[in-house]
Formats: sequence, C-alpha cells, structure tokens
Amino acid sequence: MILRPQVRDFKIIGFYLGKMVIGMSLFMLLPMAVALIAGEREPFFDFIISFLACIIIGNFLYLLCYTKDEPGWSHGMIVVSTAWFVAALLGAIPLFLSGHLISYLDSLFEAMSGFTTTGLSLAQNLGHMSYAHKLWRHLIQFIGGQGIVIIILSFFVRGVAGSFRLYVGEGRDERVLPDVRQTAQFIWLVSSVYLVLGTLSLGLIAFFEGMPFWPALFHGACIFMAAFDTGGFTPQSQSIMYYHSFAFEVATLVFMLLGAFNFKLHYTIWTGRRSEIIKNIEMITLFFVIMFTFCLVSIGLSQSHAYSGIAALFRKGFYHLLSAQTGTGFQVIYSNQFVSEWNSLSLAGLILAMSLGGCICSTTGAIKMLRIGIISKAFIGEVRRHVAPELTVFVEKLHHIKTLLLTDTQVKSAFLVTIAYIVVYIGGAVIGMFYGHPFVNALFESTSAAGNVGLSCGITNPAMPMGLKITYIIQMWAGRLEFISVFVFLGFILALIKGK
Amino acid sequence: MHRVKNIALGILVELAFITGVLVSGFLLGWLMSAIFNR
Repeated sequence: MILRPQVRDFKIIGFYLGKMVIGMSLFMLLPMAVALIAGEREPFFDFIISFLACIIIGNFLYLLCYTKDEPGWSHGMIVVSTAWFVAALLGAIPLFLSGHLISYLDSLFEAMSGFTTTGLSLAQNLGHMSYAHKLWRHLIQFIGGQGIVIIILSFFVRGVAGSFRLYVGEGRDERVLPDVRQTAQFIWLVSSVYLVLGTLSLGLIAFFEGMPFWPALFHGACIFMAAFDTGGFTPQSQSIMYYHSFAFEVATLVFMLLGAFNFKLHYTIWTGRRSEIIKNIEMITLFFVIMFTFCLVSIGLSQSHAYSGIAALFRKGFYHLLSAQTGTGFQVIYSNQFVSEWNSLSLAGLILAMSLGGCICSTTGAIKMLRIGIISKAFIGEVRRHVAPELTVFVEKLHHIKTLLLTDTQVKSAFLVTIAYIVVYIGGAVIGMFYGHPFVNALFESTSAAGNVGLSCGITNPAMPMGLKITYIIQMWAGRLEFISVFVFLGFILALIKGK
Repeated sequence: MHRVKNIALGILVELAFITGVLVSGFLLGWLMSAIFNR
C-alpha cells in the first residue's frame, strides 16, 4: 500500500524550497550591482523584477510552510529534485526579460542548462547581451556547479542530520569532512581560491591578447566560472574561438580538468597527502580513459585528414576530447564541423568521453570515474576468479582516499547508475531520431545533454521542436541529480495520485 | 602559515598532474598522427 503524503511532508518540502529560493534571490543582487556600475538601465530593472519575484515566492513558501521538523531521507530527495526545477524556472526570468531568448521555454532551457552546468545554449546574439545578463548566465553555472543545496547548507540549515539528507539527494555521494556544513564551506574555499587565480590568469591572457583591461577581467571571471564548474557557457556566441589564443585555450584546459577533480581529492592534497593524486583509483581511471578515448579521436581525425599536423590535432582534437570528458562543452570549432569534418570513429571517441565524465563529488556530470574504476576492478576480479584454482580466495581492494575492500553493494550500485545513464542516453537519441536526425548526431546531442556536457553538433538551436527542447531539459535535470532523487520524486507524485 | 603552504603545494601538485595529462595527450596525438596520417 502506498501512503498518501501528509500536510507535514508538504510543509517540510515547502519550507526548504522557500529557503533555497530566498538564497537564490540574493545572488541576483550581484548582476544588479553590475548593471548599476555599467549603467545598464533596462537590465537593472529586469533583475529588480526577478529579485522581487523570487523574494516574494521564497518568503511566501517559508512563512506558509514554517516548520521545525527535520527532513527525512525522502524529503531530502524531493526537496533537491524540486529545488533544481524551481531554480531553473525562476532563474529563467531575467534571461527571458533580456530579449535574447525567443520564449519562456527557451529561457527555461537556458537556465536549466546553466544550473546543471551543461552549457547547451539557445541564446541569440550573445555579443550584444548586457554585462548583467552575461554575468547571470555564468553565475547560475557557478551556483549549480557548487550544488544548489550547498547554498542552503552553507547559510540556512542548522540541523546536521537534515543537512546530510539534503546533501546526498544532490547526487554527491561523499562528504569531504564529517560535518556536511564544513564540507559545503570547504567546497566554497576551493572554488574561491581558484576563482581568484582563474580570473586573474584568464583576464591577463585576454588583456595581453589585446582586450581592454576591465572587459578582459570580466571575460576571465565568466570563462573561469564556466570552466571550473564544467559549465561551458561563454560571453560570446563563438565560444572559445572568439579569443583566438593558444594560451587562453591551454588555461581553460587546466581549469576544466581542475573542475573534474573530486573535491575530496582537493581536500586530501591541500592537507598534505599529495601522493594521493597518483594513487587514487579515480585519477588513474581518468588518465587511462582520457588516453583511450583520445586514441579513438586521434586515429579517426588522422584517417580523415581533418587537421594537418600535431598542433592542429592537439588544439582541435585533444581540446574537444577534454572538453567532453570533463563535461564542460567549450568549442574551438563550429558545431556543424563535427558533422562535416569528424568521421564516425572520432565522434564515437567523443561520445564515449561525454558519457563517462569526470570524478564523483566534482562539478561534472555523467557516469563518473569512480564507477568506471569499480566496474573495471569487478571485471578483472571476475576473470582472475575464473582463471585461478578453484579454492583460491580473492579479496579485491581499491584505493580511494584510503584503501577499501570492493564489496558487491558497491559494484551493484555502480552498475545500476551506469545502466540508468545508458538508458537515458539511448532514450534521448531515439527521440532525436523521431524528429528526423541521424543516429550518431542524435546520440551525440542526447549524451551531451544527459551527461551535462554542452558540446553540440548543431541539433540544439532556437528552431528545434518543442518536444526535443523538453526532452533535453528533462535529461539535463535527471542527469545532474544522478536519477535516485528523480525516482523518489516520481514516487512522491505516484503516492499523491494513488496513495491512501 | 603551514596551511597556506600546504594549499600552495597542493595547487602545484594538481597543476603538475594536469601538465602530465596535457603532455601525454600531445605525445599520443603525435604518435597516432604519425602512424595513421598517411
């Protein structure tokens, strides 16, 4: 028998949603200040309207649903899954008011792409977008990359148990520190340290390449936020091509890879255990996966003679491979060049990289390296078991921060999430084919959306059918939350309809 | 001071690893290009 949710359940969910919306509204003050400084009158009022809408809705939910009850596991999951959708719905308001998106659905797509750090974009004529709106596009990637719930945990939640339940719901399996709020604060510390270093280095490169100082610094901050949070939005429609700079490309590669590292690994290295970087199963898996997928890409590109010389192969092939692997989505070629210049083998390498992603507890999406490491270990163990004498006892171990025994539960959990991702990748590809796109293109775009990558082979554009836009919005949302909280949310809806 | 030193060294180690990845990618691309780009 399914139990129908009670008023108490709605109050807990509404209360925490209210806190999240209030938290998000405070972030709107930043682009509002930029609009004031830059003398952008209309964008300033866009953000006033959006801020007021968020603060009214947030306070309404907070006061209406005020409760002192701690959230349970299912509440945590439902709060998180709804929070991401509500954040995208409200975060879309200033984007819609900017006039660079043709409908509210397009704005929702853009906001969902931002919050989930995907980077697929429907915005038109980015070059003429105001500084305030550009900053908001990048800020939502920064917020989403840290995790929307991290904001609630950092500033608004007092109970430790409730914090952990919200934290797990967001698809982060690991705590960096025993206290979840300290974990949230450490994530902010890492991001802030790199924000300063990244903004300065990218800004200075842009400055020396000929951009005026303040716009160079602004571009540096925006590109850093998109690179470290593996988002992929850029202030210009031409993505990283706009900068025409090898140094800028290398700097973005560095920040993309840093964003793909596990925050727990950052913590371990930053607290003195520096050798962890070459011992950790995730880092070893990440290195070999990058080399394997780049083998496919480079063989494919060499066979098709798409780029002559190693420099071009590195700047086009390896750049996109790392952009795909880290789930960033920066491009240094136009979208249609993937279809016209890259052959099937090189696209297969890129799709494989997009589907696998970076480390868990990082800002990347997709299946993730720890799961691939666990599944590989399980396969190797199974082969050893069959080859060895019958009575041999095997104990499989893996090193992830500390040495752990590989258990059946870990293997089962890794397989389940991997299968869920594969089903979503293929499901999206089938819908893409329904709308008339070839299989490889449809799989490319679907994997890019569900893996929160943001590379596009040209399917994503403002003229694509509404059904496809909705499909990609759902894929981005489900992929970012790693499915479990989405399943709990669907269960909650079912209980609402069929419960007694 | 000790904490700042640890963070600085940690950042250097992370950058060294990334340099390793980039150099390995460059060399692998060069090798594949030499073999298959005929």
